[in-house]
Amino acid sequence: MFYVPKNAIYKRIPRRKFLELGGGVATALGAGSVAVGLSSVVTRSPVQAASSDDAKWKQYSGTKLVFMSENTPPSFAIRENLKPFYDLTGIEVEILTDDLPVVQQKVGIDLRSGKADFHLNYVQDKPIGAPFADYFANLNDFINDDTLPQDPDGMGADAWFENFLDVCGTMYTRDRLIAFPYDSAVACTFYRQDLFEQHSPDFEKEYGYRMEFTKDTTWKNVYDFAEFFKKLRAAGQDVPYGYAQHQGSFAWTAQLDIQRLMYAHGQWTEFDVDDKLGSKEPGPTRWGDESSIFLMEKWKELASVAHPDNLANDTLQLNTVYQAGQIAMQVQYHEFAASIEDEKTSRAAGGKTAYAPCPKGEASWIKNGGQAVNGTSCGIGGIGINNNASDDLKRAAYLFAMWSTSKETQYNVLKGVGGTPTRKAVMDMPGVKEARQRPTDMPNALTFDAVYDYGIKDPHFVLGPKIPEANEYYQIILTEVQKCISGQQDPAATCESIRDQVDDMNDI
Amino acid sequence: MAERGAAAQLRWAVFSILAIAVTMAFLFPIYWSFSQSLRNPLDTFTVAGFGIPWVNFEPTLGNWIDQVGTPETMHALYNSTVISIAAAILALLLGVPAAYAVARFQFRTWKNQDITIWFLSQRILPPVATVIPFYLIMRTFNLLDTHLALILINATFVLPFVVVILRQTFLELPVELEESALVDGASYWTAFWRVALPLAAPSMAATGLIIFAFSWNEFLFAVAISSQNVITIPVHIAGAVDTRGVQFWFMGVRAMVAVIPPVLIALIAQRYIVRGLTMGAVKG
Repeated sequence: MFYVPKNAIYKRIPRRKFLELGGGVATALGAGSVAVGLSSVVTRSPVQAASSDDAKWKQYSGTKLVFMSENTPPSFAIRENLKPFYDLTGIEVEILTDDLPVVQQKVGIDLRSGKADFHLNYVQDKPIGAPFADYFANLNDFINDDTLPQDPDGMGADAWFENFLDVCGTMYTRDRLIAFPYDSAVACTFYRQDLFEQHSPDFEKEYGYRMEFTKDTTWKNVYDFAEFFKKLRAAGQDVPYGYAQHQGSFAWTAQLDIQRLMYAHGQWTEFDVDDKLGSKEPGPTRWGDESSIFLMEKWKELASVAHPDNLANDTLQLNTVYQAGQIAMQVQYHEFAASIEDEKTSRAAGGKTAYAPCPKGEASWIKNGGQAVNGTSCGIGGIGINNNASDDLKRAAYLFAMWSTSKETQYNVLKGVGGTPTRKAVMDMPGVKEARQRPTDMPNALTFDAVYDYGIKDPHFVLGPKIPEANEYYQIILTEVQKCISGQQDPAATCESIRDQVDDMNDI
Repeated sequence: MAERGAAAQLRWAVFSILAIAVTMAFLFPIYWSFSQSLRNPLDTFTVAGFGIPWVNFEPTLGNWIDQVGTPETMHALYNSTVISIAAAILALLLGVPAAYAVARFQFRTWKNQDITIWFLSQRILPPVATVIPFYLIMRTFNLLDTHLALILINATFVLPFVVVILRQTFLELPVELEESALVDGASYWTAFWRVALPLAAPSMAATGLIIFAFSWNEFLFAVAISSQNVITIPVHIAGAVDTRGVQFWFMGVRAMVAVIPPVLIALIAQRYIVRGLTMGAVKG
């Protein structure tokens, strides 16, 4: 320390000078923030119902919009090809992409704070749509507005694949429509047809039926297949494991994974509510009932014959494991077919993989008296409009929402990077029907029979649970099911713990 | 005497083995990334042994060629470089005078030790607790997805290191040198600028390198604040996970690209970094 005499005289800054300095800094910051805040732009040329379509498309020429999206193939492809939209409307669109959890946070902050930094949002059905449903604009207002252009194929439920508009657009009420289906991830079974055919004779000798995958293949069969491959490995044969679950760290897909098994057996759902609408007050959960405990036991048995890294792999890692030839079968989302069929990166490419609907419920495993179905879960990503934006910005945003989900745009994405259409009309576009068979230049189309012709239809499709605390629910499921699979708690205790936490979350 | 020598040799051998084992454990992820970066994507999980190139698999530079030249990788490298250097400079500009003040002047309302502990407490605070407040602040000032936002945030979080490390440096310098300058008519500022600062330069360099590395590796705020324009190299590495699965081959290349600049700097300035890290380790 410096030596400072006790009677030292300090030179102090006078209060007036201090206030002057503070005021100067505050003024500079204020002026700066006002200047940068003026950077968003909306311009409008008035149109009427009788105006031409061209005038209606161009009424917001010069406007700038921001779309916050998950990093999915359609957003990458559309971002690279925005010129047609700009030529059509004169509107400039910035597409920002991030991982889904980051998008959830950013969009959530924007919506709940009453701001509109992102005029358009990626509305992933349950993770974003369910908690933030009240913050999105009602798209019905724009569909019925004759001063806006409309898609010739329509924007109603009939334009989209069965249930898709309900999955992402309808939350808690049919009075409001919060999103149009933008892309889709629907579960189906990917399996190594080459290995199934090779080992089917040995399997049949031991289990008494052929090892093949059809729409009638049950979860019990899946267990048998996985057990068979595991036995072969134990006997020293060079074969992959039979099966693996999505029980890694990504809570949403872990929940969807077990949901498929539960729904397949008597269409079991978590709450006694309309699955297509969901509910803000879902009431007591069914977790802990006889069905859930029995099926949790079966889930644990399936885990016991799965790949040993079962608890480390969420959806993305599991797909990589399958690509690497480490498992012979996975229930996976159909958007992943493009990566499976890429011969540069996948050992399962080149006609080795076949696609089938999700496994069906095993009749003897049904405890609630319901029907056995091919429980098919999904994530339908919608595009919605931030209700905090001004009326003109919302109308301009509608133009992009409509264009980005048009059949032409979806067709281009499907051809380019392997999209997953949501509009029925895309199926009739040139080459799509042919692409469902090998050889194909649209590998995702190989899944269309299993997904669009079967899995998404009633009674197989499970849409929910649509509840405001959907993300909290997923985390509870992941945590408790991981404990069960790892042997830390038994299936009954797992279901009861889930029940207690979920009911507590819903104030039951 | 001979027994004592044998015991010393044994102790040396045990420590050496332990040191090698620990070093290998720390180096293994880097080695694994390197090995992945040279593999054909089809060989991601199928290579036997320790994944030694030419021994366990035929290496390829295909992944490097695919990745290193891409605009995304170059842009991420550029962003990381700009943000890390600017954050380090800003933190030094603010932190060096603060460290000097805490080391040389007696504060009255808050004691010097309290101020030092307050600086330290900024490192104890979990960064994740401040992500949303920072996000909101940056949004208010329209700074999302800008270099300035990440420079300010990184500078905030490395500032305590600067203050704590350099405070100890200034304490170790003989105060008489500066007092001599004061006796000769120098102001406090001149004593700081002309006498203390040149003597502390090696420690400042070491501290600068350490905080550069911290900013270079920062992921949490980078992923929250960036969307497109200021994606840094750690966020770029994480971007190898997408709807095509985990592209380990690209992740390996990106990880190696990310590691190379800090490692080169560390090798060049190894002596100063050790000094910077050990400064204050024995004195409070």
